[in-house]
Amino acid sequence: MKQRHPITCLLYLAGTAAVPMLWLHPIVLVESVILLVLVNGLLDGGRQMKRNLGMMLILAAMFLLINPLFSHRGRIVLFNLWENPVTLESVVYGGLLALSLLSVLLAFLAGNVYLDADKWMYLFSRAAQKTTFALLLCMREIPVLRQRARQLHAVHRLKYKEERGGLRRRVSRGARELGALVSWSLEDALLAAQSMRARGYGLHRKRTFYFPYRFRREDALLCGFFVLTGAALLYLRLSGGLVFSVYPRMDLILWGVKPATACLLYGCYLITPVWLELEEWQKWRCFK
Amino acid sequence: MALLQIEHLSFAFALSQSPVLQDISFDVEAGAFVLLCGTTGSGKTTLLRQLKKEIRPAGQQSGTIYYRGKPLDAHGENMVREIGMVFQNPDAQCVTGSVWQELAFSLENQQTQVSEMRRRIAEMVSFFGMEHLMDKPIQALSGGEKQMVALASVLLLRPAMILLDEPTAQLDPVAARSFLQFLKQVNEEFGITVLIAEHHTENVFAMADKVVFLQDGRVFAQGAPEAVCRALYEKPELRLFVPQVSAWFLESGKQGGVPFTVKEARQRGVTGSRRNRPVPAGTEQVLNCRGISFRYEKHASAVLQDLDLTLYQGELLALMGANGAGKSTLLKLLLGLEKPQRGKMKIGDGQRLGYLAQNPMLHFTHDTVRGEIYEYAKEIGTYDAAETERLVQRFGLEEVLDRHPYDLSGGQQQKTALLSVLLQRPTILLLDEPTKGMDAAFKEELAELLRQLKEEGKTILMVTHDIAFAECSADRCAMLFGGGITAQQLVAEFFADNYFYTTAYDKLREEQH
Repeated sequence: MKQRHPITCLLYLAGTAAVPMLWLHPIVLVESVILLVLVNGLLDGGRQMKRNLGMMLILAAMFLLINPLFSHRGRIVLFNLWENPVTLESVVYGGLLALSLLSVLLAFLAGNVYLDADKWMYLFSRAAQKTTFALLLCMREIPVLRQRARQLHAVHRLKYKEERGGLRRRVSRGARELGALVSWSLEDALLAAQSMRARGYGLHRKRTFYFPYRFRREDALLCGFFVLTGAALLYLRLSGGLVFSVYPRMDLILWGVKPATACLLYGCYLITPVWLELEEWQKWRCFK
Repeated sequence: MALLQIEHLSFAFALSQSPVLQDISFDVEAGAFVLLCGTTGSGKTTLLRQLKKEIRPAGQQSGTIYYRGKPLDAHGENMVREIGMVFQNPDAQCVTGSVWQELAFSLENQQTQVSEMRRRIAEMVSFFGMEHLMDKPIQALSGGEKQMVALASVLLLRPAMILLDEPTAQLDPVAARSFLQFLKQVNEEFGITVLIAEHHTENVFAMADKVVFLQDGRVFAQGAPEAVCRALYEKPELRLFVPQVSAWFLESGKQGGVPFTVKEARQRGVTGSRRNRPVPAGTEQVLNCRGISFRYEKHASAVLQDLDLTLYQGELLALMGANGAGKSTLLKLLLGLEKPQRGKMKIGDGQRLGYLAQNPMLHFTHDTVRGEIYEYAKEIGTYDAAETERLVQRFGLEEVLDRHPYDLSGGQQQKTALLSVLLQRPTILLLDEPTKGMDAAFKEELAELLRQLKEEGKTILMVTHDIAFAECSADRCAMLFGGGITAQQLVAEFFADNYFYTTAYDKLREEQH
C-alpha cells in the first residue's frame, strides 16, 4: 500500500474512514475495528497503535460514558444515577459511537503510514499549486527550527550557567534567545531566497510540479475496486433495512442477506493492504 | 573567444562610497577550471554575484561583462540556465524538505514537463551515485551530501558554466576533497566551465587551469597556477596562500616547475620543515575520563565505548577523527549536557569549562559586537570595563564594535565568540572546530591567540579536522575511533607514526619509504 499512488491511497482512506463514521452497525463496526488493527499491525508493526493506545482508549471511553450520562432516551431503564435514568439504548448507542470513533482513529493511523506528507502534498498540489509550494517550504522549516533552537539553548545555558537571577532576568534572557533564533532564521532565509532565485524561481509565474509517483495499472484496478465496493456499500446503506436503529426502539434484527453482503464487501475493501502485501510476498517466493 | 570576459569591472554597494571591486579584468575560457581566491573581504563573493543577474546586489556597477561575446545583460532569461551557482552554506541553500524535491526544484521553475524531469533526475542521480539518498529528508544528510545535492540541482539545468562560492568551507576535509574531485570530473567529462571561489587553495591549485587572486577588490595576480604561486610567494603577507608543498619548493630555491601535490614535490626532492615547537605537557591533570561509555538511546549503538582521556594543565590537545566518530558527543559529555551511562569523569578542583560552538552564530544574542562583549561582561560580572577593553584590543576587535555580529567576516565572528567565552573566566577551553571555513590568515592569528592563552595557564581541548592547524598549534593529538581514543601522543610523534592521516611534512619525509 505504501508503494501505491496517492490517489489510490486517498480513496482507500476515504472509504475506511467514511464507513464506520456513517454506518453505526455493531457488526460492521466490530469488523472494522478488528481488521484495521490487523492492517495497522501489517503496515508498521503496530508501532503507532502502541504509541497512541492510551489516547484512543480514553477517547473511546469518554464517548462510551458520556452518551448514557446525558441522553436519557429509550425504554429500558437499567438504573438511576443521581436521579437520572440510564437506559440500555443510550449505553448501546454510546458503545457504537465509541467503536466508530476507534475505527476512524485506527483508519487515520494507518493512513499516516501509507499516505505520508509527500503524498498529501501531491494531492494538494492538484488543487492549489502556490499554496502547496509555500506549505512545502514551511514544513521543511519546522525541523530546522527545532534543531536550531536546541543548539542555541545548549549554548545559552552554558553562557549563563553561573548565575540564576530573578524571574525578570530569566524572561529577558529567554526573549533574547528567541530573538537570536529569529534573526538567525531570517539570515538563512535570505540565503535561501538567493539560492531559489539563482535557480530561476520567480522567472515564470507558473511552475510545474514533480512527484515521483506514477499511476500504474494496479492503481487503476484498485481504484476501480474501491469505487465499485463503495458504490455497492452506499446502495446497501441507502436501500434501507440495514440501518441498525437504536432510538426510539432498538432494532434487534442484526443479521440478514443484505448485512452479510455488506460485511463481506467491506471486509474485502478493508483488507486490501493485507492482500497487496501477500501478493508481494508470493511474488518474492516465486522469484526464489 | 573566451566564454566570459570581464573588462574593467568596478562595483560599489548602494549607499557606500568605497568600491568593493575595482577595475577587474580577466577572461574565462570555455571549459576551463578557474580558481578565484584572495584574502577575506577581498570581494570574491561580490564578484561572483555580478555574474548572475538574479542575485546581483544593489549598487553601482561600471565596466562590462561579456558572455559569449555579448554583454551579459543583453542575454535573455536563459542565463538562469546557462550559468548556475552553488553557495557556501549547505543548510540555507537547500530550500525544500527532501532530496528529490530539491533536485526537481530548478526544473520545476523552468516549467519542465514531468516526464522530462523524471528522465533528467534519473540520469543525474545515477551519475552522482546518490540513489540511496533520494528518499531521505535533507535534514538527515551530511554537509558534504547536501552540497552534492545542491550541485546536482544546478547541473540539472545543463549549464555551460557554474559558479561556486566557497562550496567546501563548511565541510570536513574528507567531504571537501571528494566534492572538489567530483567537480573536477564534471569539468573534465562534460567541459562545463567552472569558476570557483575557495580558500582551501591547498587542493584546488593542483586542479585549476587558471588562478585569479584578489586583494582588496583588485586583481593582484592572474594566470597559470604556477605564475600566481610565484607572485604570491614574493609578497610576505600573501605567502600563507601558497600551498604548503609549493612554498617549501620555492623556499628551497630549486629549479623547475612549482609542485602542487606531494607526488610532484617528491619528484623534485622537496623536503618540509615543522613550524610548531610543542611544549611537553605538565603533570597536573585537570580533566580525567575513565571508561566512558555513551549511547543516545537504549537500543542505539554506542557512540563512545570505554573512552579514556586525560588533559594536563596548560596544554593544547587536538582531538581528531572522522565525522560521526563521537567528537561532538564527547564535548557534550564533558560540558554536562549529556550524562555518560558508564565511566568516571573527573574535573580538577577550581576548574571551569568554557565552550566555543562550531557555529559562532550560536553565541550571538545582542545587536552589536559591543553588546556581545561589554554588556555580557557586565551581566555575568566577571570582567570590569578596563579589563574587557584590553581583551578587545588583543583580539583586534575595536574596529567592529558597533557592527552587527552577523555582518562580520567569519574570522571576526569566531574571535567575538571566543572572546565572549573567555569572559566567563574558564580555565579549560573546549573548542569545536574553530578553523572551519576560515582562511589561512585567520588560522595564523588564532594559533597565536591560543598560544598566548596557554601561556596564561589555560588548558585547551580542541576538536578539529584540520591537520595543518593541529600541527601548528597543538601540543598533543588524539585520534577518536570506534568510540575510544586510539592514539594519544605528542604532535610530532603522532603525525610521524601516522601514514595517511598526516601532514604534508610527514608525507615528504624520506625515512617513511
